[in-house]
Amino acid sequence: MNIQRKVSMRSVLAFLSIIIINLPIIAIVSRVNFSSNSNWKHFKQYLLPDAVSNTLLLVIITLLLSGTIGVLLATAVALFDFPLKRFFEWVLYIPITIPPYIAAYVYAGMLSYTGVIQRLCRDWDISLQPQWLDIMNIRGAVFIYSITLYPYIYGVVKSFLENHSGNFIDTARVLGYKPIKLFLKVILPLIRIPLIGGFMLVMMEVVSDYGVIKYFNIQTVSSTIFNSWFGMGETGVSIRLSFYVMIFIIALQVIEEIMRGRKKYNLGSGRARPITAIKLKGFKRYAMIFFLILFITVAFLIPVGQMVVWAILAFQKVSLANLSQIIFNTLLYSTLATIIILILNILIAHSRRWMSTKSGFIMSKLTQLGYSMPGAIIAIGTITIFVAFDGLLHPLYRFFDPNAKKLLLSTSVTMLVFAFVVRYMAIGYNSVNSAFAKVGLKYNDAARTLGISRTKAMLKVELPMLKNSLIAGFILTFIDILKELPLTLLLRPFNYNTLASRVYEYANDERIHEASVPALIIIFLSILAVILLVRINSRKGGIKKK
Amino acid sequence: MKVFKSTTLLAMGLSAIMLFTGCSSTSERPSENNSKADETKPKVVNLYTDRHYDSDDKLYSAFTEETGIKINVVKGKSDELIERLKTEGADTEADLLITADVGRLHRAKVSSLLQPVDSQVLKTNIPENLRDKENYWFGLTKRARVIVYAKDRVKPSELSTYEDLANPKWKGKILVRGADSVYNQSLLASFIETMGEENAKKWASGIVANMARAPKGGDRDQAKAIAAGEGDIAIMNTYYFGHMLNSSDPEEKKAAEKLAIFFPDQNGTGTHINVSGAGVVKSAKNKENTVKLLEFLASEKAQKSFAEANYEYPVLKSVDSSDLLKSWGSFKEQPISLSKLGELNEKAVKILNEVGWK
Repeated sequence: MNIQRKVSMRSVLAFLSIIIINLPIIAIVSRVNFSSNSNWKHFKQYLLPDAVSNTLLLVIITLLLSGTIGVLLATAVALFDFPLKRFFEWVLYIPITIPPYIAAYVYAGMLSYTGVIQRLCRDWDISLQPQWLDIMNIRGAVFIYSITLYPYIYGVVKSFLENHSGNFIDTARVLGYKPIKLFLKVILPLIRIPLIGGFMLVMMEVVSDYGVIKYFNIQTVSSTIFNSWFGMGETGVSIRLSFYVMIFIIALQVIEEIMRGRKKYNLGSGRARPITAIKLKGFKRYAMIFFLILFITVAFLIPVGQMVVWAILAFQKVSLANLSQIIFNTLLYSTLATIIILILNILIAHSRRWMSTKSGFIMSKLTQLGYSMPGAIIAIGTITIFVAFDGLLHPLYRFFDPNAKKLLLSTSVTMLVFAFVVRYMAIGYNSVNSAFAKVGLKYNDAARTLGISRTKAMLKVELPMLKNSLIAGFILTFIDILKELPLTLLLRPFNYNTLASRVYEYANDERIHEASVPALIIIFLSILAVILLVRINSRKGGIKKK
Repeated sequence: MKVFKSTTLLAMGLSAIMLFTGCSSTSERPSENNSKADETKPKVVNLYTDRHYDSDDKLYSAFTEETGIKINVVKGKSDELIERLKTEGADTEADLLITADVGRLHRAKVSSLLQPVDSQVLKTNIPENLRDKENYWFGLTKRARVIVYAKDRVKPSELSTYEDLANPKWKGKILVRGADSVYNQSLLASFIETMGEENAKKWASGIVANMARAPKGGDRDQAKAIAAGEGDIAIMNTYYFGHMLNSSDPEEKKAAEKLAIFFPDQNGTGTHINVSGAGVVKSAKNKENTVKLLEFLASEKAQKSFAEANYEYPVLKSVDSSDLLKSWGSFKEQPISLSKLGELNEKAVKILNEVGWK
């Protein structure tokens, strides 16, 4: 009886936090209206076909491309040993620090008439068709998404391969599998689960992105949601559309869960052997290094180098007033939101282990809903909820201060931080949950036989074991919030600026040179976070050491 | 135990729904006695703005220096700021809404988010067609949406009206940004007013047929595409051209120098203009200060800054445009009431969709 009561208390807490973070989504969904009015008909006739086909095209090709890049890079780094491997291992994470909309502006600018490539061609009298360099189309968008989002896949696949596939790969090698056969027959089936997790993140990023597609003027579901709500003042169409997107993503996840459910992947004991990296020799070694350098150049060095040049050109025109305040704001609230996300995720992942598979699944999906809707829609839901909260709590405010204003929470940073939590729970959840799933219940049970409570066992025994995965989750979430734009724009209190909002203010006015200055600071801060992530990851495996 | 858990889930869900519906009904209650402590109120104006220029920030500091009134700013996109105002309702802290397009001001007005302002200064400084008939909003700067052409390939004598751009002789020559651009929506709205819905639609589909490429990028990208030879003519706003001519990138300057501005419809209805402007929020708690700020923004000092720092046309007649704007010459403006652009916005958006303007 005693145990049962405790289990339910833990679940209550977890459920409660899930419900609270889903309030903005409930606020939006409660406004869904399925009647077919003239706006919906107009939308269906003129916008829907393009929006759906473009979105599907973008998502599918981006998944293929970023998946290929991510898996190949992760496999290369995990399976082989070559000079500078340690260096490349972390450098390959770095493109995640470039927000896709910034990469879009930079690449489009570079390839434009005034950009460096066409200028050089003019100087050297090489004639070029401008269409050859046109990146502002679906192909270009796929390119931008792939080079900025592949690290989500690279990261999960690499750490999975390194930590869990040693036995399989060594066995296959003993059996004489050639690299290609090894890749197709052993590695691909093995990494299916982490790969799908990475795909989900990339897909949700692409589906809800608005920056790249707006600049490239590609009609997608997300742009239609924005244009019909904010452009036409028509909330009906956009709410219904975001609802469908959410349902679509949930459906995909359910299908994935069912498919995975049939094949239980049990990786045996926790004592998975690390992979034995094969030393590359001679020509192969140089080819590998050459390709990695080439890739990093395209995905990172070129765009960032261009931004540095622009930043120098425009430096004098950029207002740097309050810069330290802005950086402080950005760091403080990104950190705060990330810590909350981590704590909630620990709570949820911890209690999920005692639930039936089904309710555990439902719970984990409910933590991720906020990530499947466009940011601006979440923002509107959040304001609705906070204004309502303030209405409810106003008597309380007045109890403390008779002159208290009504909109207290909704004019404070609380609202913004809350929205960050709603939106980015999914990012942290993946690493936290997989970490908890990995250790299972055995340590907790063992600790309990020593007479401490489950929660205490989690805090004292499991958290220290999972430290690395948790910090990885923390940093990924932190970087995402650092880059975040729509929520900040819409929910910020008076006089509150972040680096991303400064980027937007310049970029929106088509002043991309000026925008490079704050954008570079975002990238710089994120790189610091990545370096931290890699240093922690390279202190190998928490479990094994203990 | 499993049964117990699902009941917990159900109970939590229900209580959340109750909490939520309870909340929303509370929020709909009209709130009273908001400002009891008028005497102790600090001197502030709370501003929601869609203008993101650093030069505007300088103007606000100048205002604070002059009057001691502090300005608190939230910068965002006008549509989303309007949505936020709607949600915050009577309790909003915002006093003034500034947008970069008159259609949005009109939308704020019809959504009952603004209140009229009776100010002699504003009435004298701002021409009648650039402010709301009932004084709900006031234009602060003018923008002209003009034709920009390649000097080496197009003779100005070949250009005349917007309508002419739909002529098949320009097939494959015209560059213009996407249908989601509010400037394009307002341009088309003005044609619905001047030439009627049918003709406006014909014009839009004529432009689509003449486009040099699928619309993409911003206004500056259209100008760059002319320089690159992708097309000969762009429809764009004047101040972007001004920014290009003064760009920190010498290449952009060079590209802009290959182009020139043409003010269309000078023998007909006149060139399309739009304003960026402001309206006092309906439940503004600092109305007096807010009106002071509005009057300041319509004053000579502020108008001069708009013209010089951002290449916009001042609304105050006594203020000279910047030298650059003067060099482009003066022009005849579309005489229609700008409120119309807001009223016809939805129709314009639908037409753009219908004719396949991406």
